[in-house]
Amino acid sequence: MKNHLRLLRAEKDWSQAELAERLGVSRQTVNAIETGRYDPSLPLAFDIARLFARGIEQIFEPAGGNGSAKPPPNARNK
Amino acid sequence: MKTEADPGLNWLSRFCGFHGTPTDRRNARMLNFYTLIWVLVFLLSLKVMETYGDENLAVATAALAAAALAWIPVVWAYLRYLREADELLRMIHVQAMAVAFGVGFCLVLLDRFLVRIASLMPESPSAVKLLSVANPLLMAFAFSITIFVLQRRYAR
Repeated sequence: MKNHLRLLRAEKDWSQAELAERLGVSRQTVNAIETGRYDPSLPLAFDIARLFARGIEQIFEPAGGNGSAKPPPNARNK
Repeated sequence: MKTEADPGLNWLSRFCGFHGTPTDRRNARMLNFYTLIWVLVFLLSLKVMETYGDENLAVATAALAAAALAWIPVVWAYLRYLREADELLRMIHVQAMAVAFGVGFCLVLLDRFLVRIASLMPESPSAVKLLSVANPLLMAFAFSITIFVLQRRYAR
């Protein structure tokens, strides 16, 4: 999953530690999310979205672009 | 863009690369404290067992109970540590537990083979004795190494 967290943080002029403190996570978690090595949990993604006053989809997007998710394999058109 | 290092950390924490939140550090200190207590109780129980255990069933049972009961605060502290842990730190610990469990389970299943091989070795008594303590030590080693590697990987 790609994200714009680093950009949004830079706009606010916050360090990783400051952002981590506001979110209640470690600085390493913020770093891992920014570098794309770790995808946050849904509650943390909501917290991030709330903090930057944006929608989750404006901050996070699927790695293959922002297309819609695949339908489940057993979904059939009726 | 501002960047900064985590203040107030010892060299070991800096070397490991992952420091968690202040709550994680407080809970880790508590966990380390109870683990240290358990190690001391375990060593004392072992000494008591070796000294008096052959003659007195009550002493041997008390030594066993002490070593087992001292484990309860460690489990409690570790559960609290995981419950309140930073989510990335929790994921790292779950992965480390999976590796340690795999190593431990594999060693238990292979125990008969290992004992047979150890008994064929020139120094067989010491090799068989070593096997009796190898399982927990290897599990602890696998757990620690996995945590170290993952912490370094995510903290880069």
